[in-house]
Amino acid sequence: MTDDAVPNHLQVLSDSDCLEILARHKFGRLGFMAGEWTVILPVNYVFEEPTIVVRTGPGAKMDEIPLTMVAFEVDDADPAGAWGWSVLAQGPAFDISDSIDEYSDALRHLQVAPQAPGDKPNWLKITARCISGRRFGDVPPEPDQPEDDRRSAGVVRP
Amino acid sequence: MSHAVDVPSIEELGRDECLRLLRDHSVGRFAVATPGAAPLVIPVNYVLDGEVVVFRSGSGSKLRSLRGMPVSFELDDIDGVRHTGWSVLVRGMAYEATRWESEHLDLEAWAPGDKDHFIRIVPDVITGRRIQHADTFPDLGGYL
Repeated sequence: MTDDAVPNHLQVLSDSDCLEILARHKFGRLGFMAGEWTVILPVNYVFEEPTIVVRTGPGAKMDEIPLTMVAFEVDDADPAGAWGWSVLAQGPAFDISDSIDEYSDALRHLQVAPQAPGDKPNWLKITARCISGRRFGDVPPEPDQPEDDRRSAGVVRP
Repeated sequence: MSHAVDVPSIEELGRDECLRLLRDHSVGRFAVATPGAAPLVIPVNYVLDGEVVVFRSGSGSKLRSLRGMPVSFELDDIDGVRHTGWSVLVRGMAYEATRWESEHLDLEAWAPGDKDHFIRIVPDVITGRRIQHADTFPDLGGYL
């Protein structure tokens, strides 16, 4: 993060800031088209640059998302409005649930929060082609996540 | 996975409960289509005017993409460790408010910049869900 945050100025986050934020967080929102409507769904994810990996249950998402351009967003804000930031990644989404290539197989081994039993797991891969971020106010440093809450991003390689 | 016994319970929220959650919070995200590209998802602070979501916008491309368009607006509160929480999704048409539609509102945009326009999203469909776990394994609940 840069240190020159000035209240009342909207600051553009650098690419490296955006990547770092995407890697550090594990919960975001997927934006996609369902017919003429946009839909936003909260999801768990893992970021393996440049790929966002999302695991979902069966349902409308898998009918609408694969092979379309989607948005993925992470944000946080002070409930009183003193500060806020957001990162938006956009790119094509792919269903890698049954893909047999090594990269897809490795992505499917990432510790994205798994499904309840009985559900056929669906894996989505979003290739972040375009990433941007904004912040304003004096954003406090984020506390370290608890040990058992850390993702194992980067552990599994093809 | 060995902890497969913990099946999350999903409760669909009624319209009134969704509206209550919208009324009690102040930050959400709207999504709008952009022709030939991925949708935009942008967080905003808002107020609920009756059942209408209102937020402020500058006069740039965001405003142009919003006017008269079907949009969605999402609000959530998720415990990232326990994977419990709720989310609300509003679908409706966005339009720019006239002065008399906005002058009674106490709404300042948090993000800096000139935001002279008031956008209203008139809900068509409002849905919501709440997810709870009988147990609290930190690693469960991929679909929030």
